[in-house]
Amino acid sequence: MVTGASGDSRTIKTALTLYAIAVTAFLLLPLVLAVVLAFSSGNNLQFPPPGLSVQWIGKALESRTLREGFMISAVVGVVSSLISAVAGTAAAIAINHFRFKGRAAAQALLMAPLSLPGIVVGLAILFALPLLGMSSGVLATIAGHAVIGTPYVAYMVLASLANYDLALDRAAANLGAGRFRTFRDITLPLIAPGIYAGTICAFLLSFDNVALSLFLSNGNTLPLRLMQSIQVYADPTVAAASVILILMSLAALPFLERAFRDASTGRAI
Amino acid sequence: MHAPAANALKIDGVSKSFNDVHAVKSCSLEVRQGEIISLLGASGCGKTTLLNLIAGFELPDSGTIQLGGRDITVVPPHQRRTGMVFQHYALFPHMTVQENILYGPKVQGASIEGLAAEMAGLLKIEALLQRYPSQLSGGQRQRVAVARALAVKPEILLLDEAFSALDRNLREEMQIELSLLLRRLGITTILVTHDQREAFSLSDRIAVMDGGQIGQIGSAKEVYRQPASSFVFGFLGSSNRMSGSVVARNNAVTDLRIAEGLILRCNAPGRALGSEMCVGVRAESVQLARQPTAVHRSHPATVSLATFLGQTVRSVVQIEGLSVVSETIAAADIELPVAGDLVFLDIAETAVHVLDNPGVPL
Amino acid sequence: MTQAVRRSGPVAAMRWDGWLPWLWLLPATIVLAPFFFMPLLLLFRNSLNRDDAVALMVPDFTAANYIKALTDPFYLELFSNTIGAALLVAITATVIAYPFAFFIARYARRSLSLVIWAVYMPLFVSVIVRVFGWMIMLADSGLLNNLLLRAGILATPLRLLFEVDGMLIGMIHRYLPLAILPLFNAIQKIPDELYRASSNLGATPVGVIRDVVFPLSIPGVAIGLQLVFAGALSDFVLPQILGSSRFRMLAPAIYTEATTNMSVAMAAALAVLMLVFIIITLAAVSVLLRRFAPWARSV
Repeated sequence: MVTGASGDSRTIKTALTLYAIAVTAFLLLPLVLAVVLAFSSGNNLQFPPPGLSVQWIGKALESRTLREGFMISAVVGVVSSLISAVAGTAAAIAINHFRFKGRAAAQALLMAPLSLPGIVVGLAILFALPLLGMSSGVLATIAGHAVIGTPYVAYMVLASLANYDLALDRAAANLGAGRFRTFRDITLPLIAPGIYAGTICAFLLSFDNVALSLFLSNGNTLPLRLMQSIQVYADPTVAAASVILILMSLAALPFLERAFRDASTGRAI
Repeated sequence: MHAPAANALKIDGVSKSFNDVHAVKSCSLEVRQGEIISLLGASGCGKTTLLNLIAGFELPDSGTIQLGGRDITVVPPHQRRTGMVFQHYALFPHMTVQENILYGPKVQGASIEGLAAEMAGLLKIEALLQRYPSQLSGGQRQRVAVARALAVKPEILLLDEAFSALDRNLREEMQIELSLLLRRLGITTILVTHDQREAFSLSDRIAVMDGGQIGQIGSAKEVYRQPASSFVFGFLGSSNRMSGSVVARNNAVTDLRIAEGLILRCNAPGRALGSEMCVGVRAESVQLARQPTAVHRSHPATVSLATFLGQTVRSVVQIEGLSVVSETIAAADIELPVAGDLVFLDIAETAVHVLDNPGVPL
Repeated sequence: MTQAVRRSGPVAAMRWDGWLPWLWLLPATIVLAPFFFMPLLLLFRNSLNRDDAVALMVPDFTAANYIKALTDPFYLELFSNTIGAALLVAITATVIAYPFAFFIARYARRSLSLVIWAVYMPLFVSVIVRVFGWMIMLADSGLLNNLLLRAGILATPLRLLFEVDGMLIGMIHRYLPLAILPLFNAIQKIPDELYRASSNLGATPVGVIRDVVFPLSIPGVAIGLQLVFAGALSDFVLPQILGSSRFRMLAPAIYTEATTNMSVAMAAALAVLMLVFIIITLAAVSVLLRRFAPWARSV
């Protein structure tokens, strides 16, 4: 796309550039502040900090509550995102590869958890636990997070399937590959980026979830423990834990980038 | 139809590069009032860039552009009064046909009294005025795009590959209709196309472009029959390129030996005996004779492939290891060549173009 | 156009494998049926029960909870607070997002992936971290007050933290990416030819934006408004941490009813009402879209 040389006035562009820098700063500011405060030598939210130290990082790493919360969140995140990966990918293939009665309804139902508030879903699952012979805890939290993760993965896989040419399946069949071989050798490698991205997203969503965990986890996941400590004594320990969480997200982002480019330039949303 | 000497558009030595790629190299072009000119060339030849320079979507690095005597070289596009029909029509999807047509006059503060009906009448789209572009067929969209461009009463109409999105039959129909309409209205028009038929059927003059430059400008007959360069010759029609050595010369006539048993005579002052020359012959100039013809000294050749194309037959003929393409009229009462036939090549000396002789105009 | 490719050519689903798609859907059904659909039905059913101080929840079939929620000033204030805040956040975020989305869709060719990154980044960092960042910003001894005091603009620190203003700022920050992304998508889809066509017809650069870009981005505006509104309406973390105890919001109220107050049926009714509010806005937006962007259906 070539921008018209004189079609767009230069003033508009300069003003918009400055504005965009300001908005970007607004978006990133809180994250930067949390990181800087993690290295504060003070013991409150004073900013700029009186001096620099790594004492709070140490405290965060030593804190038994936070370490335990981290472990619980990690287990919940890994297990629930793996469940979501299987259920979401399979569902996406059903929606994309087949034309069957009830397909539109199936798709709407599949995506429904994405548009309902977590707090509503959490409360609803809490009601259902006794009927399912379960009680709140790690298992209930895993199930709850998988409910949100499954449509998420399905959504990302559908986005990557949007570029998938179904003639490839016929080509494979024509060359003698059975259904299973076709799926394993052709479909799966081509939609793998979508599956990875969806699964990582599902993990991050789970790791960050508050609304469902509130009702299901007995307050034991990392975000809930951080929330409790923020409300009781807001000291830089939380900032130090934040640094760890930000690093985790940063590590995940490169994996997501390609899938997001697909999603944002293509048919998503 | 050609108002004498009044130049509607004058482009003078215009150049434009993008990151060291010379898209347009010192192009000059004068378009008379009411004239229809085609910029014809392969993709990447600079024809679209030249059109964008006229419309003001790009600014030239050097040179000037005058429209109706007014220098518009650096005038922003919205003040140029050029009407453009875009390749994919660029109809505003959120406006009805009528709103699309009236948009230009409205933003320019011109009167819109009766304009929509007038334009719809010209393009025969009266019944579509309240529809949205998404409810139109390809041909209807093109009509709306032309109506919208004409509604601003432009000083010049610019068509950017405006027929390329249509099916072949519809395309020819629209070309005829638009050609008649533009001539009737006397609108100066520049048409960018890569399609020789389209350029030939619509325009008064054709500018053949290559490598950012205008290679030749002239009527369809001129550029086809008297190509100014090897490129222009090769770009138009389908042709054979051959080279051979001079075996005889006589004033303005030279005989070239192309292959064992194929000697071509061409109307060109001969060079030294034995020197190499490159010539070109269009496929339709290679006639196939059943009997040897007196004028030409040719050996029999073998038809290796004959393809019936409807109006013509295209044959590939082998002569002493050389392949020559011939296209002959396929009239119903003529025995058509088939593979394996023995034939004699019949090439008129006026049909032989010398391609590597820049010093001599063709 | 790409849509067409995607939808084209239904796979030759042969008669004997009519059950195959359902097999592919089985894992999702195993997750969603017991942990999503059944719970939602139960939630609705429970909202018709009665809360009891001793027996917790008594089976019943009454609309009493809804009547109470929609008449009692305590709950009415809760709803008006929440809906008002969500509307304000949705509109403000869209207004802030619009020029930004236009910029990245139209001008930020070279820095596009960097800017998109900056938009996605906050979405993938724990909301707790983001909220904590705002606490540092807004605290009495925080960055903002420090700057304003030093610049001599203020004599005493501004009370922002644990006030409505702080909560709203945090919400706008949290949901801004959800307003930017659909707008970016909508604006990016507008072909370059349309900009050229309208300036060729005589529109000034501002005219192009007013007559072409803005109308064509309305569906993106609508999606952004919906997403932000639904997010802010049901937000728990921001009201809970940044908000004021004098300005009650719906999500924390549901949690309190269900846990501290032991009014489970009331909590269920409030949750159903939250869903109803969201559905009403969805419907309203789609009616408005049909009215103001009738062309959008067939594009």
